[in-house]
Amino acid sequence: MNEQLDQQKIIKYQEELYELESTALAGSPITEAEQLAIIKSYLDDDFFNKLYAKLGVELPDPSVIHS
Amino acid sequence: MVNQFLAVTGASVSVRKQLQTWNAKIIDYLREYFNSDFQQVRGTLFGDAIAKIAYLTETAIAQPDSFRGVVDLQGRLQAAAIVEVETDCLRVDIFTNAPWNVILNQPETMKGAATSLVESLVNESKSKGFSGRIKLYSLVRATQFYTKIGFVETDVPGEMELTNVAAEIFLNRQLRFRKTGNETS
Repeated sequence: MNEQLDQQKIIKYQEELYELESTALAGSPITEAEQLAIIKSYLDDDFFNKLYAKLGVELPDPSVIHS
Repeated sequence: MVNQFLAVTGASVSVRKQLQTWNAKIIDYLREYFNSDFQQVRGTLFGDAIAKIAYLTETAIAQPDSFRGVVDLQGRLQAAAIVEVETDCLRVDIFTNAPWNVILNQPETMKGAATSLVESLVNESKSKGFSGRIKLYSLVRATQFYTKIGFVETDVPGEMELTNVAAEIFLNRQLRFRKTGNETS
């Protein structure tokens, strides 16, 4: 009986933890202006060219990457 | 059934390709959920995640050895971090989920990745002789998650620490959950 209760507690804890997982971000704080600049960069036309150059990986088939 | 993940150390070519996929997904989601309007993203959880993923990508390229992650059994990178070894603990400089674990209910969304990555980092801390101690700067909206794991706030604003005692409790709980989850599946 105690073991069953213990198991229920563990499962409940894990469910609660998983509910919070999407928020699990960490790192030094940045300003709102910095964040906006980063977000805007993703909307630039040449974002992918810059990214591929930085990552040093082959250009993927765009139909695959945007599937 | 408990989702299973494999720990990854270092930003290999395979990891860099996964990060490319993450960045492509960000653009997909910006178009699909935010109408490509950056103003709609500001101040949101996804906005925070974009900033972290951008910094993580940059750092993974510049300092590949500092990269840590977990992949699912299909080989998809599900959560990632940048770490630094300090004199008395493992410091997590950046921690983030895959974009589909922030914008939920996607085909790639998988529960347990962030928790599994923390577990992997705790084990690394132990293996480096830090008894599981970890320090990081939590975003305000992430404090509940880290508190639930056992992190406590330090005297430094925004900084949280997992003590060696809390690390052991967390690892033990994870072990029991996997046992329980696999028994009940």
